[in-house]
Amino acid sequence: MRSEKTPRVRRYWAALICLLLGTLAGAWHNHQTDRGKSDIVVGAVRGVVAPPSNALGKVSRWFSAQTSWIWHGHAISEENQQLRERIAQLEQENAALREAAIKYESLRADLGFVRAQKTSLLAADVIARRPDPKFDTLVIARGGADGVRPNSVVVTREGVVGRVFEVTPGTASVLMLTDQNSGVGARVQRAKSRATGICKGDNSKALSLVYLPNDADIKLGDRIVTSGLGGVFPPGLPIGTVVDVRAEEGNFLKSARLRPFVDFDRLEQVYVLR
Amino acid sequence: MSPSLRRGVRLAAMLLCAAILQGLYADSLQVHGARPDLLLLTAILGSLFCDINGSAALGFFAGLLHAALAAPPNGGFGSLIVSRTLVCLGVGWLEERVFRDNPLIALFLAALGTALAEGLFFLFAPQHHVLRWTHNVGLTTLYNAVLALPLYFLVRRFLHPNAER
Repeated sequence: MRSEKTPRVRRYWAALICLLLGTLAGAWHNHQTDRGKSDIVVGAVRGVVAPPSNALGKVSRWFSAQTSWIWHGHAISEENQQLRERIAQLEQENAALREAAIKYESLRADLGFVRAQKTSLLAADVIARRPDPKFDTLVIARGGADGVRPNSVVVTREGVVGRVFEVTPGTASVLMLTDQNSGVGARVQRAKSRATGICKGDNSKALSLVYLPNDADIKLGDRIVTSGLGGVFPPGLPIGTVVDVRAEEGNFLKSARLRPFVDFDRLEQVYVLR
Repeated sequence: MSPSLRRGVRLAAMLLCAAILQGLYADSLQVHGARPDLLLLTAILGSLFCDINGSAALGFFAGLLHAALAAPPNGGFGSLIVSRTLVCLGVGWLEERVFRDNPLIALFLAALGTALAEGLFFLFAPQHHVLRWTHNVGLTTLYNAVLALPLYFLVRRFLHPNAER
């Protein structure tokens, strides 16, 4: 006589297979990313999700642009005027800086330094912002096929967004500066102070500048830029302004809180440095 | 098309929509730093309408979509899949053994399932800033509980369009 009870393994067969596949997929993903290769599973899933996301995102942005006058009608004309004045001022500054850059490059060449590398900007639409609320990451609609590589730097007009940490042929994942796994060499942008530390995120809106020496010259309102140390981020990219400075335990080190220039909650389009 | 296949196709479409909405709009829906996890919520609520194996498969695909989109930095890809699979398996088991689908139970399970999935994830892939992480997960749990009821009715309507109401 056959037992009416189904054996447990047969009863939970799909669940067991799913758990096994999940573990294998995780191990495969870690193996591929450790070797700097793209994961075919991630590529396939994103291949399905990215096109409708990108299309819906474009429709949303278009709709938002078409209807923004309803919410911001009066403010827009005022802002327009302010922006015109700001552009005029920035164009003057830009011209002066171009002159300075030419002089700087020629002096570097005279002194025998290697010529600074020219970088080009690749515009990329954001197709997913913080797809997991626990991590400050972005998915952009540019990937290996467009020349994006792991550790490519991502910026906006305001400043640094983060770096690429995973690439598929058509998309790339960006680790934002605010993520707890992020760290970038940073320094004070002031002629009399070149205090250098590490800018870290903690999944909040602010950033921390840590490992500053106790005698570091850093003040509220100072601009913080990338230091170029570490080799991933080029020097001089804007990060944020200092809003708080405090001594660390034991008084050997200092740390500072920064307000980032980039609004990480409103990213829709970014640029990848190539 | 057989009813179970039709249900499978509908669940897959639901997950895909949840993944797209999660990537595009969930971050903009934040309230005081709280962000919903639509993909996890959809998987938990969908599991209320599946048997044990079906809910485990739903959890697996939700986890796979989630992991492929979020690509957690510093590992955690497999942890996301396994944690989602285990939670949906649990929901499917409870639904089959203990209770039938009910809006209040859906609300309770959405909150408990979110907290449990994130707790399991933390167990498999510990994070640096524990307090900040707990704070964010707590807010997501609350947000998911708030969204559970409307989404539950939507899922039920979608999976059983001709059900007697």
